Amino acid sequence: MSNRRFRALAIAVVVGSLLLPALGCSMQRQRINIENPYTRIGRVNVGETREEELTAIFGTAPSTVVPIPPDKKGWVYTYGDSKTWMLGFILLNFQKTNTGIDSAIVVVDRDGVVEEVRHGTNSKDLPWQFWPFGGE
Amino acid sequence: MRLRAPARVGLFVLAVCLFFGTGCIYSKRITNAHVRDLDTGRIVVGETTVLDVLDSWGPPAPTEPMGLLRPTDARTFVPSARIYRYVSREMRCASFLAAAPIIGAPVPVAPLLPFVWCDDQPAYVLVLEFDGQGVVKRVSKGTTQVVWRPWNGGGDRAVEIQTTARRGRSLR
Repeated sequence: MSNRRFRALAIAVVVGSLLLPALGCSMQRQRINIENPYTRIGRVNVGETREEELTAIFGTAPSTVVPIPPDKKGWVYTYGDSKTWMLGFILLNFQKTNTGIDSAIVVVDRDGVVEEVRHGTNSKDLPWQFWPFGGE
Repeated sequence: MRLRAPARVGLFVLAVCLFFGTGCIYSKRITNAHVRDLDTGRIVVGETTVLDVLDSWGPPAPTEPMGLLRPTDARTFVPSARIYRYVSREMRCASFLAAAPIIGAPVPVAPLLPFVWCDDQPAYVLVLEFDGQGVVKRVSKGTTQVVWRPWNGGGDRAVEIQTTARRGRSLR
């Protein structure tokens, strides 16, 4: 091997060994407010579950309770999921976060019995992505 | 062997980049991306009801985790509300880091002096207004382009708004 080639190879090895430890990726998952929300929502039985039981079923207080005229109440729970994937190089890093937030509304009648439940499922199965450019 | 001047300059730049160099991070956060795929063609003014909307799209949701929700915001989520807002929010950030060496550390550099530019916009907003009977009386759709700062200024962004309140019409 000539001196020139040997020097190029040595530089490549040195630079490569400096860059390699700096490569990496990180993945972060954040569940928002409620763990297993769909299972918990499934435990709410329309016409049977009472208002007092909702906190135990969801494992937390509602995000808010709003009056629904004329004499009902809406217990609003919000929940979601967030996934972040970062791909890092020594000089350039790419990161993308996909977050989905849904709300569930539990309508309680004047006697304190659940009358209706509506909820979103859009925070299910969010994709892991790292490329931040273009499209979504 | 003695290196020529351009090679010395190149090595010097490489050394600066490695030991005092800058790194950059491009990051994007999208919240409620599904809102962009909601089919507004199914919402017909004067025909579609609030229950139709709830059945096909579910209740509207905030774009921030709770704790930030105000009661006035929450009222827009309940079935009796007159206005539903479906929002997809997008934030783009470009960060530049100057790094300094720490000899002997597991990661041999530490970031210093971060410079971060972000653009955070409600990129896609869909607003449904209902009449007293819970029937859609107006549909509006707005899109706002999110830009990469500092490469693009806010004045470059494209904003588009569509709305209709004519009976029997929908937005495409």
